[in-house]
Amino acid sequence: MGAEVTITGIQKSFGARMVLDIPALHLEPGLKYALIGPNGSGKSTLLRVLSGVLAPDAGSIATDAKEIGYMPQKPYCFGFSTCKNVELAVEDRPDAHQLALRALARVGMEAHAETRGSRLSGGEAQRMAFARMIVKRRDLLLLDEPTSATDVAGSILLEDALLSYSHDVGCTVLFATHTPSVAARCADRVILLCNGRVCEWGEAKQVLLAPQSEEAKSFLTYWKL
Amino acid sequence: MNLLSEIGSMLLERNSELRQIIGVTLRMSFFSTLFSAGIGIPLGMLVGSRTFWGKRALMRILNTLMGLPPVVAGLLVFFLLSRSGPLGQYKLLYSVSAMVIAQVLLILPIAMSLSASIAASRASQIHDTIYGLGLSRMCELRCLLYESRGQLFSILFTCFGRSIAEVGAVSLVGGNVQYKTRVMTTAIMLETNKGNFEFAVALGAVLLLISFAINSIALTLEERGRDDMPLKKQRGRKERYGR
Repeated sequence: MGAEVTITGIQKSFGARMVLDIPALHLEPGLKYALIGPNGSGKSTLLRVLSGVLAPDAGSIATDAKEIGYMPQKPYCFGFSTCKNVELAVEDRPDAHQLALRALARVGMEAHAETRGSRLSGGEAQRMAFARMIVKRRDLLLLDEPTSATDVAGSILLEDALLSYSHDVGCTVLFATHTPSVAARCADRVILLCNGRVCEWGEAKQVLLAPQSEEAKSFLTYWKL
Repeated sequence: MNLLSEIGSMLLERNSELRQIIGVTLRMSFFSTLFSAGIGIPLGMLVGSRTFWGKRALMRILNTLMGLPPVVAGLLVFFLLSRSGPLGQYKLLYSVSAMVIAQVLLILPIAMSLSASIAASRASQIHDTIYGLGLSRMCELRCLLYESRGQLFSILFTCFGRSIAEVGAVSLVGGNVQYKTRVMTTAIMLETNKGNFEFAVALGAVLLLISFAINSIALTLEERGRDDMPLKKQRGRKERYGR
């Protein structure tokens, strides 16, 4: 079962600029949320705050998640083999190698198992990083633009892996994306951020096809679904 | 070729003294590097990978200390170890230990500052990735050390190079005592002052040769640690073509 997340009065600023100001937001267990919005709207900051990498200036986050996975926008690929990179997440398990190989196969990366992580291309690195996320059971997955560097085939592989993993594990997923098709295909709900605030949120189809707010309409003008 | 054989015969004539000088030089440089890098690299990695109050000031101090004049460091250690100094009771002055202490004072800021810069360049990305995977701080430091291994070898040999070439501080606290604290650099200085230019040049050539050998090892180790090297050694041509 996925985790429930309740955000109350979260605020975060960098210098004088307020980048996040969310009075209240609730993520229901087991659902997949797409976080969309223009550049600099606070998507990455929200994910960093939720993961605990970044401390908010004010507010609180309540969650029952025991295992949280956060994939940064530019995941680091270590110099050891791709397989070892994935094993890192489950290094205390005796079957770490098998688990890593299985996770790599889910994202179509089994052929690169012995390639150095640092030699992977941008798209391959993202697929490897996603394999590192799904190698173990997690209650909450926070993904920062997981398909931003992948090609179409790679993106579909990754989306399929995300859908099947969340179906199998039942985890709650929150992912940031700039790709309309990814949001439409993978998300149950969509959250639109504008200038650090939630402009609109709701069922994916409803927000993407019939936005209500002016900000949402303006942002989604160029999104062709 | 003629010059080389002349240098060779000159060195052979004073074989026992030369062996002792080389021995003291290597011993002093080895221990200075060991202590400086052993303390400086982990501390530097920690400073570089963390955010804390006063970090900028600390980095400025470290960068300033990188340019600390050797004679000033030597003078400081001299005062500390002289009979009337706070550590005078240990009678370390004019010993290899005193030379090592002075060298550590000089090299530690170099090791710390360089390690901090290396750590800072990739620390935040590694931190986010490791934290995102729910792994420990220890794992983060381990990964940071692994990822920086190539540059850390360079730091190690930079420290060794600085140590082996040092003259001001070691002559002050070591005293250039024959068969005890005389090292290559202080011996070169002494022979030059005595007018034995040929022997001074010969010693210089040996010093350069040692530095060259050590730097070659460093380069090999650094290349092996590089991330763009394939994980498995490429098979030889014969094996590849099955001949």
